[in-house]
Amino acid sequence: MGIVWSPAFQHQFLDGNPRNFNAFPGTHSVQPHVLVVPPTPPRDQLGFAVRPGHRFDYTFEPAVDSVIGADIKLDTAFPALATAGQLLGQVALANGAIRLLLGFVSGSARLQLFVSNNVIGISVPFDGEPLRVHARWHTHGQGQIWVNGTLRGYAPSLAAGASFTVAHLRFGHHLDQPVANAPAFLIRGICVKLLRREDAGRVFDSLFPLPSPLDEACLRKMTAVDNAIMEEIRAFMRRAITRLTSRWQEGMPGGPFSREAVAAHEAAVAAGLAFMAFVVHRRDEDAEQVKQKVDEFLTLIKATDPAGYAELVARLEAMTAQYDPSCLARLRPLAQQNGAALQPVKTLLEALLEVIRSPGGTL
Amino acid sequence: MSTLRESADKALQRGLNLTGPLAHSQVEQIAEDWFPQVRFHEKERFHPIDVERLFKVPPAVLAAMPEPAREAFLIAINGPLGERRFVPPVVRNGSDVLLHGGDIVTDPDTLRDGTEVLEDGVDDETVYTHGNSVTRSTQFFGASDTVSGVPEPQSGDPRVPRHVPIEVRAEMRFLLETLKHELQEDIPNDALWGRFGVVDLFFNKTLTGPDPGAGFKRDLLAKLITAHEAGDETEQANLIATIPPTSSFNTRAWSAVTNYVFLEYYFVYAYNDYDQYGDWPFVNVHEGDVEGCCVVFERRHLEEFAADPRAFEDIVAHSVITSVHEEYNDNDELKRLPVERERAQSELVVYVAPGSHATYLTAGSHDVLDWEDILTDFPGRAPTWAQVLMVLELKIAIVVLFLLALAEHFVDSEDETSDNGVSIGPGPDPLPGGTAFGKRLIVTPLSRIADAPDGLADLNLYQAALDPPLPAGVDDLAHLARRAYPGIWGASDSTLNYSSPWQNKTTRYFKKFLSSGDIRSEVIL
Repeated sequence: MGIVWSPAFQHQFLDGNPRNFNAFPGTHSVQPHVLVVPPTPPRDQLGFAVRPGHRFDYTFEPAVDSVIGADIKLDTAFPALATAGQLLGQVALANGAIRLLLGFVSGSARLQLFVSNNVIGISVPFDGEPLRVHARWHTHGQGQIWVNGTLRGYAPSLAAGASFTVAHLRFGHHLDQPVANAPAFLIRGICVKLLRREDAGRVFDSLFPLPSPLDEACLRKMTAVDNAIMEEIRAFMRRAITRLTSRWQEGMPGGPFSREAVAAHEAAVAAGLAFMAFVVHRRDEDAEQVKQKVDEFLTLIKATDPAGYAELVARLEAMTAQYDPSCLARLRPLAQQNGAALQPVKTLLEALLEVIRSPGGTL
Repeated sequence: MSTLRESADKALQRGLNLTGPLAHSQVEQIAEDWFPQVRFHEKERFHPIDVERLFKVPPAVLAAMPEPAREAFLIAINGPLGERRFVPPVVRNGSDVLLHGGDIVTDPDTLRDGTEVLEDGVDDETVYTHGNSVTRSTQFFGASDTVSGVPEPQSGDPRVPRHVPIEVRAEMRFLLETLKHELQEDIPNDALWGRFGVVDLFFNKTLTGPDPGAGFKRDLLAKLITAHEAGDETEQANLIATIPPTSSFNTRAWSAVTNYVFLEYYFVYAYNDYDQYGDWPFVNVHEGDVEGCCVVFERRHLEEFAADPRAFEDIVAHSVITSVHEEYNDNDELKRLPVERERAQSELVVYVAPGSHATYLTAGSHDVLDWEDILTDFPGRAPTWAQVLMVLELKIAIVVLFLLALAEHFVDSEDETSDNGVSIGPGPDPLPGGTAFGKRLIVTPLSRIADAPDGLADLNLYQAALDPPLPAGVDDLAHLARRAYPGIWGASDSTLNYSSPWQNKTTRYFKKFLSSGDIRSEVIL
């Protein structure tokens, strides 16, 4: 069972060995070069020192395409006296199209997440204690920055609809040339996850693993329709998000999420959990919970644009006619073999189809 | 299906010895000295027990329960004779019960306790179970109250382990010897002999063209080992020159296997209740759970210790490797230890995540990541099962894709580890009353088998099954039968929640060491 978002790179700097990391296939380089692995330093010195001339590059081979989400976690630490000056650092993906900029100066940490020249930025007090910085972007438009586990900034329409090919990750200082006696902060850990357009399908495939009888041509045709339907759903979600949430950063009154947004999120999470429980246990009460929570979620989403929602559902239903009948026919033997085993899931999905058609009206 | 006696005969004939020049008593010394600080989360309900307790605890607990309460914990087996109910645990092949709790002598000091019947009739589909539910596992093995006597654990006030001392298994494997035995034909199919599936790691693909093939690779490695042991570098170079141009030899892997030794610590748990702590969609639950960690040594240090020029106090471990969820997740952690002995020992700390029992090297939250070959196994489409359902009802596609859209927002799943729970460590038992608990280290004898061809006698667990037992042998057939049991440690068998056999983790640790270790490579072939 996998995680929906794909891990792309993780370095925890557990010792002095620069190659002690996990990543997608690829190659790395470090500036300045490390010719010999140094002995493991004391714990307080572990990490990647970020100062001019210091950077870590990783090239994904092959590049990761159709990236519609990026999640960056950084654990930072600040050696004594290092905070006297200005400390700068960055994490950049896709040639800088997605980048997290960090600046620490005069008791303040300035954090900015850029995605296709859209930006969300925050400033938080900084006293030299370690910080966990967490930034996330999703093509629905949601950009978020957390510090030490607390949401500090949110944007509802950050590069909505964008997607990227990520061939490269770079972290460290933006200046290539070393500067004598420059202060540094430490990256104690970095974890980058990416969401590819079809990642969720990979996870769902593992729920009931079945060998596909389809050839490449059929798979391409089926995927094209899947993607078109998903894009319609995502486009509607992007609009709903802008209506249910608002740009916010710490210090502003209220919060980024309306009461309806919070309720929709909670219903979606509960629906997901219940669906998983249903898959595992096949219990009726889990199926009921899925229906109820999906209904709650969709009722709230539909309320943001009732007419648009009705049009969306009609459009989606019509789009299913685009699936190639000859490809579907090749699946028929598999359907006959597995129909009984999948019957409980089919029953639930059919009930959910009715919920999607008229949320708030069927249960 | 091979019997343990057949395995033991092979061990004798082949001179099975995985600890190089070290005697078993020396392995025990090192295993105690380099036992990591192991820190469990305060909420952990199931702490490590060894397999002996999996058999002896359930009937003992049941015997102490009032008669009416016992019924609910009996295990029902449906077979040709109808439903029969057994005292847990049960070991079965389908509905054929090989062993049940009523057969087991629960006295922990009894060598032949009934479980020795597992020396025969078991295979990789045999199932051990004490009831396959968290309720039953908790009843037999689960912690309840905290150190301060309250039901809810807090930081610094963890749940008290149900069974103390906490038990940990240690097994030392010199990698070269382990590979040598892996390359032999007709390897016994039991969990003690285990596997070291690393042959392909010694060959890098360089050009498109036919792979040299498994037979060629295994034969070449076997010959290389012979040449290496003979100190014949010319022959090694000649052998490597025979590799077809479509592949090249991985000298880093060769350096690793010839220069390092793994000391593997295994933590056996009655139950994985990860659903109590983790996040959708990664969580799972299953009966039985074998986890652990590995301390790496330089071979020359241990050889020098065996030959006497190096004092015991001058041994310094090289690295530590953890075991994080499934092997295919490729998310294990490694740390090169400091070269100073005191620092190395003080920094040898392993953290256990609650429920999943994944092991980590730091306290705090850890992203649960899955690095399996997502570039190649990625289907890039709606799941096949959904396509199958679309044949039956086309518009189900909308529902599935809608659920996929929801799932995209489940970004994180994290394990939490803590400095504020139960701990065990090297050295004598701590004073009672704190959060540090005593441990019992069980070191599996994997050294020279008595009367081995080299004439040197030592200790190997297989000796227990030799007939007649050797003079220097162990007379604990039950111990051998439990450790060598090739079946499944638990009855969970769904797609997501499945119990596993005891598979030695040497292969996954080697992969991690190869990818991230600081490997000495003075050998240039």
